Amino acid sequence: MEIKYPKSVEKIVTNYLDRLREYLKGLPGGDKDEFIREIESHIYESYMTDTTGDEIDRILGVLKKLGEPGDVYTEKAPGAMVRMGSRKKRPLYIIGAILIAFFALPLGLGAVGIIIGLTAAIFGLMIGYFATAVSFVFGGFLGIVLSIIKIASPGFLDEVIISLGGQPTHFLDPTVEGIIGLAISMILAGLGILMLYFGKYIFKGIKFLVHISAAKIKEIGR
Amino acid sequence: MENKIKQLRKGVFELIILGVLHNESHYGYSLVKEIIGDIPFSITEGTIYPILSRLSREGLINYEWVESKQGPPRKYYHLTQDGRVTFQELKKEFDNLVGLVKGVTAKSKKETKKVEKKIIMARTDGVMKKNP
Repeated sequence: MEIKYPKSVEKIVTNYLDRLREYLKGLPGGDKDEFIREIESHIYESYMTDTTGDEIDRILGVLKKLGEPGDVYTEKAPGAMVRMGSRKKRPLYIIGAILIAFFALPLGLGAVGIIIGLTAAIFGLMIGYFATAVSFVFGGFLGIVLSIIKIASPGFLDEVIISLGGQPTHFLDPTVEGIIGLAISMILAGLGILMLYFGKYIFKGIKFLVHISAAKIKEIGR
Repeated sequence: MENKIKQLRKGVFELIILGVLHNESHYGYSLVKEIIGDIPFSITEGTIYPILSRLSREGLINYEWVESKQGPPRKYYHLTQDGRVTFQELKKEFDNLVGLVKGVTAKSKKETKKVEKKIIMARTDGVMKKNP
């Protein structure tokens, strides 16, 4: 049955639900709609039961008892956050949701194998990632030092190469080579540092996945 | 103080919800009425919904939308088998805690009475000594 309120009451209810919707922005669409629908139903039932005073008093009383949308939301938030991570970690939440949807299939013990395999694969990728980042940082800094030496005293490195039995080759003027080398080394080192910095998020993501996997394994175990 | 009472109520709120659903299925508003009734309760009615969605996610309760002749569809909640087991366990724990709290207060009341008796005795002794 459709909800029918007097115009003035409808306006107040719509305003309340709009404000609630604003607070629920971070929730997945289906959850949000269902939550709103439930609150809508509550407001209607409460409004029909409470028949004291005029209609405006009645609806205001109903909403006061229900609580401000901000309060309803903050109560809802902790539970929802557990599922979705904070809004900042949304990509993780999506990965998690895909994995959950995938493993929620009745795969039985097979799922455990897949989870372990996936976790191991992700672990391997992570190690590779960090190794690359560290080598970029090291290589970059070494390059910076060598380039500065080259710019400061252009002949020095050539002498070292000759003393080691090598033959120094130059494509450009040593100073120009030094400057180009410095720029490339700095970019490399910067890239490495950036990779390490973002590694923090990757690490967090993996922790999140391992957490989900562990919970899933426990569930299957039960 | 009011905050402490609020916290305490919130803590047992979940248990109360499970307890009410243990007896019969309810939709949100009827559950609120059943729990809060007409007693002014310092927890706002809206707080029940987040708890319900959490309990449902934990598999302790499930729900279905049922059409209503009086208005919009109602979301009816039922206790699952898991919910029943959890409720029994929590209730046992709660009873233990209540027993403990009551025991402690009863004991301290007894102690107070003993001390009071001693003081009275000492006083009467003093009075008796003064006026033999």
